[in-house]
Amino acid sequence: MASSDLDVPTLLLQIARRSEEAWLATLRQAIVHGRRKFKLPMPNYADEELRQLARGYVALVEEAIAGNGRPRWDAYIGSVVEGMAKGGITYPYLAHVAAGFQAGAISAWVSEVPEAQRPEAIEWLMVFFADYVGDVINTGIRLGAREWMRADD
Amino acid sequence: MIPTPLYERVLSESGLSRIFVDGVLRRACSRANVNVDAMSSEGLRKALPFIEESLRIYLAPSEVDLRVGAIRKLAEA
Repeated sequence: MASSDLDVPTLLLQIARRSEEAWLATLRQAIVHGRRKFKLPMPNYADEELRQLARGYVALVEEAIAGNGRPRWDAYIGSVVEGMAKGGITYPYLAHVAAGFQAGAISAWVSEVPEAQRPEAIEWLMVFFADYVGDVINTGIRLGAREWMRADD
Repeated sequence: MIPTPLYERVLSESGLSRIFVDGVLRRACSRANVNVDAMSSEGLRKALPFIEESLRIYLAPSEVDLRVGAIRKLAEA
C-alpha cells in the first residue's frame, strides 16, 4: 500500500468514519467479554445506542485532530461514564470494555493505513486511546472509588 | 431536584440513548445558563442551539433536524 497524501490523523478520521459497522462489532465483542469477566447483569444496549456512542467517539477523534481544546471530550466522557454508573455499571467493567475496544480498534484501523504511515498511526492512536482509558478511570475515581472494587472480590 | 415535566419531554424527544441523555442535555443547558431542574419554555428556547450542537455529535444528520424540530415545538407550546 503506497503512502497516502493525507496526514495520519486525518487518514485515521476517514477510516473511523467509514468503518462504523466494523467497529460497532468490535464494541459489541468488548461488551461481551466484559460481561463474561465481571459476571454482572448488564443492561442490553440497542444498536442505535451503540451507534450513538460510536458517533460520539468519532467526534472526539475529530476534535483531537482540530486541536482546539476538548469540550466534546470532557462532555462525552463525563456523560457516558456518569450515565453508565447510574445505570448500575461498575468502573472496572467500563475500563475493561474501553481497553478491549481500543485494542480491537487499533488493529482494525491501523490495518487500513498505508504501511509507511503505520508507525505514526500507531503512535497517534496509542496516545489517543491511552488518554481515553485514563480519563474513563479518572472519572470513575472522581465519582466514587468504592466502585472500583471488583464484584467478585 | 425533580426534573420539570418540560425537561422530561426534552429528554424523550432528543432521541439520545438513555445511557447518557441526561448528562448530555444537562451539560448543553448548563452552557446556556439554563437550569434543567427549573426549565421553562423560555429557558428551553435559550438552550436549543446548545442542545442542537450536542445532538449533532451523537445522531445521524437526518435525525438531528427531526429531533430539533420536535424540541422546538415543546419550546413554543
